[in-house]
Amino acid sequence: VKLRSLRTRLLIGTTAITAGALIVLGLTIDVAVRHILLEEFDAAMLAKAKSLASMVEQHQKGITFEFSTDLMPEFSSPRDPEYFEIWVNGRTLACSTSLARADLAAAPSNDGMHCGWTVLPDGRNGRMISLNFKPYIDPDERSESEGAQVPCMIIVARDTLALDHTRSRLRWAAVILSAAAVSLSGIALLLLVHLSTRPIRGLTAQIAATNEQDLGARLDPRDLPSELIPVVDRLNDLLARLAAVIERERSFTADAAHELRTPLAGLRATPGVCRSRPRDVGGYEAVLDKSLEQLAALQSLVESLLMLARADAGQVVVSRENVDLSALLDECWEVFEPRAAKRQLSVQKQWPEVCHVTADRQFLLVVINNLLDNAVSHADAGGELRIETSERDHQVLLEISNSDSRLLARDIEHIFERFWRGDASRSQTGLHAGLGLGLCRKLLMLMGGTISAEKRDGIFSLLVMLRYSEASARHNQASQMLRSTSA
Amino acid sequence: MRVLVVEDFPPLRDAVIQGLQEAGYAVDAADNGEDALRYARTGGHDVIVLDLMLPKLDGLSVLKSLRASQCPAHVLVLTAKDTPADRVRGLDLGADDYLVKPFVFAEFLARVRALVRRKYESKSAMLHVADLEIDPVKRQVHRAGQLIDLSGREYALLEYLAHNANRIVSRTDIWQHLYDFNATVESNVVDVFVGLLRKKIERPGLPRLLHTRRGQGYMLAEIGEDA
Repeated sequence: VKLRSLRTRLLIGTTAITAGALIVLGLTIDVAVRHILLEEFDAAMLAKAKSLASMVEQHQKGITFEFSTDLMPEFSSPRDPEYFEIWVNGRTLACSTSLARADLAAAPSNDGMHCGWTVLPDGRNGRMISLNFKPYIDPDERSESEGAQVPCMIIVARDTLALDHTRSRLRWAAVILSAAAVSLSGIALLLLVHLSTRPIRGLTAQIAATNEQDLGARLDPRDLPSELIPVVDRLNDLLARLAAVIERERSFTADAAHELRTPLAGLRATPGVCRSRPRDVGGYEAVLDKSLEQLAALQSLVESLLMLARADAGQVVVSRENVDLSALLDECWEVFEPRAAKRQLSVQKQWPEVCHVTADRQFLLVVINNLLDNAVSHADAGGELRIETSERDHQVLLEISNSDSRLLARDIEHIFERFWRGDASRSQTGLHAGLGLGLCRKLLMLMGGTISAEKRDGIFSLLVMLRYSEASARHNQASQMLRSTSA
Repeated sequence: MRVLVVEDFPPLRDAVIQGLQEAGYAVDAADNGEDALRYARTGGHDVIVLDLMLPKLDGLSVLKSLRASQCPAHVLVLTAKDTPADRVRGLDLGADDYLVKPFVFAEFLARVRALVRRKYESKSAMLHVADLEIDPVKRQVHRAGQLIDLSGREYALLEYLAHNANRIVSRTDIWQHLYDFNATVESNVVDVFVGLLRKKIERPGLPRLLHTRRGQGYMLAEIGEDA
């Protein structure tokens, strides 16, 4: 199960960690407590064993043990008795009355002290301590029996009921305290998370209040925790980019409306005025000619707009075919030659017989027509026009330059913008709507080419980079090899 | 009546000029904002037809300058921008009317006529001076119920005088309002047209309407004596 809520994740994670830590701590404490309790228990038993051992005396006549149950009633208590047994030379010297006839089954060890678990005669679990000792010899009698101290052993045993009881109570206390701690930490965590996520809720409200109408709105990073500031910054960047796109769309729509409506108005007004009174045949013909001319301009505008819109929407199919750029240039130039002659342009053309590039033929045709139209229309009257191809960075460079005294260098960055209008000469509504170069750039982009512009010494140049087709690339390689071998 | 047409799309500009001229208006034309402002300042235009998207100086700036310089012409904004915000902006800057492209030419002419009427503070489409009845839509004139046949120039002169009925109109005013910049200036051309018009509208037995105020100009009025 994927935990989507940070709050749940934090809650579960922290609770698990706290509980785990408390369990480890509890177990450690339990072991430590048990150890300490056993130590104390054993120490108490040892003390008793030592007291009992001090009551064993060695005399010449034998070993005596003087014991009174009054002194240590626990050894004869009917309930919860303690036990002892004293061994001398493998025989029982004495034992507590609580032991009755039973033995404290202990493997007598020969030296020092031994502690351990045992089963008491009444079947309960208990602790047992065995202590090897030398009986007391009266100093008066010591010389006689020197070196003949009889080794004795005392075993004391006691049940661990009280001990177990204490341990169990301690355990319960630990469990209850731990559970309380876990619950409290959970509640505290919930509160903390609630408080810490307040900025997120605030941000959510801010985002919810942002709409597409108010493009200037940005999210306010004040009062936000530092972890959220990068998120807000990136969101604001995104908003700014979206606003720019939407603004561009809006102005595109407005511009497109203007560019379409103005020729339409002309197209409506021309016959409208004509119809307002009877005219001679020549008058009607002139109006028909004017209308047809305007229709043609409008059609090319609509087609450019459609092509742009389709290209923007990714609805065009771009074919990558082998196109002869030279043939295409010949074909297109034929159409523009009369206009260039009319404007008295001095034209320089330079392209090879054949130049194969990879492109979409229809698109490349549109691009070249637009570029030639642009150059022939905007070149200074009587100025220069140069069309040439060359090779640059293993690509074909098509350069179309014309003298243009009106376009300013700072305008260069705008010329690919749709509907951009420079000076009066470039802004003839309906005829040059400022779509051509934008369309060229879009189409070239789709074909894997590029277009750039520069203005130098009064000459405006458009530089188009196209890819060689594979066939001509091979041809080039071959001719290069040929050249190098001949060199 | 004299109209300044400011439009940068040549086919539309040509059609509008032709239509207005055929309707009897004196027409000047500009294809950019700077020229428009220059022409408008020479004065004499009754109506300015103004496109908003213009080279050099956009239409709204032209409008602002015109209103700042107290230009008396009424402005008909002609534009492809049709959002309410655009209209509000145009009207707030002092446009008198707003027509969105493309438009029916008859509607355009009607709006120009309405602006002329408003300029001369007349609400009715028909102009009346005594028993003289002028119909600016049909461009027909009746005196005492009889149709008077007038040439375009004569009609334009009469309409202008009728709009300024009972007021003295100077020769310069007439010249400015009836002739566009292309017309050649002839000192007595106004007097000649006034003479031709007088012959056609004055009838024996009916009161004289077109009076000459020597040294001041002319006046179309029912009562008055020639000085």
